[in-house]
Order: sequence, then C-alpha cells, then structure tokens
Amino acid sequence: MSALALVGMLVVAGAAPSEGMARVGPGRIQPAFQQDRGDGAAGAEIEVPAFLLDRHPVTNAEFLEFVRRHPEWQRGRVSPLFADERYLARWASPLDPGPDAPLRAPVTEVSWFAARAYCKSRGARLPTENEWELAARAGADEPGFTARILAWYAQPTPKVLPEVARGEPNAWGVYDLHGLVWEWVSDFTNALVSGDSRDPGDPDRIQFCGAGALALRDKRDYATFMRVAFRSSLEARYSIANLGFRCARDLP
Amino acid sequence: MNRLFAILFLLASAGLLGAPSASAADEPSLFDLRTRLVDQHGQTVTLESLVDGHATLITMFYGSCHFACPMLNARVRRIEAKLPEADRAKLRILFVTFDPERDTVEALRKLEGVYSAGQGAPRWFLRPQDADAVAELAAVLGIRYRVMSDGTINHTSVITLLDGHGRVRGRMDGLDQPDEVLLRPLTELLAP
Repeated sequence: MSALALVGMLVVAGAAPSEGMARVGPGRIQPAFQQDRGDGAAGAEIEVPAFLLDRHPVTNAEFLEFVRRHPEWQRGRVSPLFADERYLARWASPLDPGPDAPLRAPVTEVSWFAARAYCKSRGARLPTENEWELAARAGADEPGFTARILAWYAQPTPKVLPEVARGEPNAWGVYDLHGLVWEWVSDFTNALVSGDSRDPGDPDRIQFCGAGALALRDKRDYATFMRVAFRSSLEARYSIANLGFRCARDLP
Repeated sequence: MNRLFAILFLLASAGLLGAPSASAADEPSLFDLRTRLVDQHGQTVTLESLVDGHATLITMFYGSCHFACPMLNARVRRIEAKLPEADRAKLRILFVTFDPERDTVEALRKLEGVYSAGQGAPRWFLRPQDADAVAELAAVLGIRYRVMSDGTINHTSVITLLDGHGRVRGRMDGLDQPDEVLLRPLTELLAP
C-alpha cells in the first residue's frame, strides 16, 4: 500500500503532501447496489479503474476563489433551481466566509450542482460513488475501522468545522474521508430505494424500470449502509451543514 | 428495508436533513438549466424553445426499456385522453432519454412512431448530449436512476407538469399515483 501512496505522491511532486490529487486504485469493490437476477447469487465485484482524487475536501478558501470568478454561484445570485435557501448560509456574506467558516475548513452547505460546477471549473468532476467508496475503504481491514467511523457518525456536527488534513492520510495518501464531513458523489441518486423490490409482484415494479435490490457486500458493514441511507435521502439542491465534497479526475 | 427507513427517520429527526419548501409562485424555472437537446428530427433545441409558453408534460425514459417505459407512455396517453379535445393541442409532451448513446436520432424517430400512434398533443423525443447532461436533467426533475452493468437503467417513473415559463406545477412520482395528481393542475393551466 505504501508503494501506491508513493505513486500518488509523485502526481503532485513538489507540492505539500496534503495538497493536490492522489492516485487511487485500480481496485475491486462490490457496489452497495447490485442487480438481483432472481437466482439468489450475490452480485459480482466490479473493477474501479485508477483515478485521481483530491487529497482533502474543498476548503472555504478554494470555494471563495471559485465564486469570485463565477458570480453566478454566489449566495443570493444562484438560481434556486440549483441550490436551496441554505446555500453557503454560514458564510458571513456572499464573498466573506467569516468566523464560522475558517478558510482551511471544508466548505459545506453547497448543493450537488454547485459542487459539480466547482469541479468542472478545475477541469475535474465529482467522484462516482464506487470511486469514493474504494478510496474510503483503505484501512478497512484494520481492527476498529468501522467502529471509529460509526463513532464519528454518532457525533453532532460542530458549529465551526475543523481544518482539513489535520490527521493522517490513508494508504492512498488521501485525508479526511472519514471523520470530518459527508461528501457528495456524482451518482448519489444511485440509491434508488423504495421498499424491497425483490418480492415478485411488488408494486414498486410499477415505479422502477428494471428490478434492483439493495445488496450490501457485508450486512455488518453498517458504516457503508449509513452512507447509502444518507445519500438516498439527498436531493441535488440540498445545501447541508455537514455535507461537503472533493473532486476527482480521470488519469491523464 | 424497514431499518433503512428507521435510519432516515433518525437522520431527519436529528436535523441532518432538510426539506426545503417553496411556494408555487417563486418556483424556479427549469429554463435556468440551459440544457441543449437534440430531437427526433435531429434539431438542436432547448427546454425553453420546446415549451414555448405551453403547458408541458416532461418525463424521462429509454428506448430499450420494455417494462416501465411503455407504462409511462400509456399513462401520459391516458391523461391526455381525459382532456377535452380542444385542450390537447395546447399541451406539449417531452420524452427525454436516459441513454443518449443508444437512443440516436434514428432510434428516437422510430420511438415516435411507436409512442405517438393516434392523435394528441405534439410530442418530442429528445436526447441530452451526454451522460452528464442526463444526470443534470434527472436531478432537476427529482428522478433517481442507476445504470446497471447489463445496460438496463433502473429509474423512478416521474411525470412532471411545467407551466409555460418552465416552472413545476405538478408531479406524479410513481405510476401508482392517480391521474388527478396531474390532471387537476393541468386543467387549471389550460383554462382560458
């Protein structure tokens, strides 16, 4: 794993180890959602190609720079189609994060549309759910991994969020995947949940085209289950106090 | 799945989730999306140029879908059939594909033949330019979907009613909803 972290660090040779993007993957994961073919067979693992991922979540300082250059994403100017009324609500003013949003803290209260626009402005994109989960799984075999994540999920969100990259990076050289904020993924609407659609004749077959079932790779993996549940409750314009994001990019 | 709803309930009651609400008057316009689509005739169009001041039903589908999508179309036709004949021409109907790769202009033209049989409101069969544009439109319409490894696309069946300014005036989320969910606001919109 350390060799992989080294490869990742070469991508941003010369930059501080917590800045820039890290190379993550390739790796295999079993997606949270799998197709149920009705034969009871567990879904196959899928290959996630290697990609680049921001080492830390996007900060208030970075997002401030973005809204300066793209006024259409400033609070008060953004179309309500793309962000609800809590968009950047903790910022002191549209161009001043202020004391409740330290420059080095992760930006939150940004909608999926705003997060996407930010990444696009950098020639990047949001990570897919599978990419994010692959990055977040580093260290999953260590004892206490899930317990530590669940302990964080149980904590209330502090009024002022701490700075990014204060702790240790994971094996990919990525910081803060657990323990700071929840993060947007590009395909959060993956979590297509409305009852259990495995029952034959289920009324949900009327709502869904094709049949799918929630199939977690390990039913004891409650942390993944929590993230899936959280994402399934989101709408693209929601701006939430503990939901931030980071960007990804295909390998050059 | 009950455990999942229990978690959602906990998240909601812990104040982690919000349910932003807006009154119909300050509802944002879908025209803000400025998305460009290609119709079944190969013309590049926008939502604004398609709606063009008309009450419009918009839904997302894909051509190789054999189960829910024909039902979605049947539902649109049923709602249309319940309107007085003079009102049908005032309505516009947009079908946007989730699958711009396979639903080429040619494929959309074939679908027009299948989905438009008989007379009714003018219909457009549309493809966004790429998967990114699909995701964006689905997001503003509140449609959840996922592309499966075998190429099928699981998606929620949502029919949205827009007024002539592109504002959402009605929404049927799931085909188990009664026609009245859309018929009532539609009748209001079409009233002279």
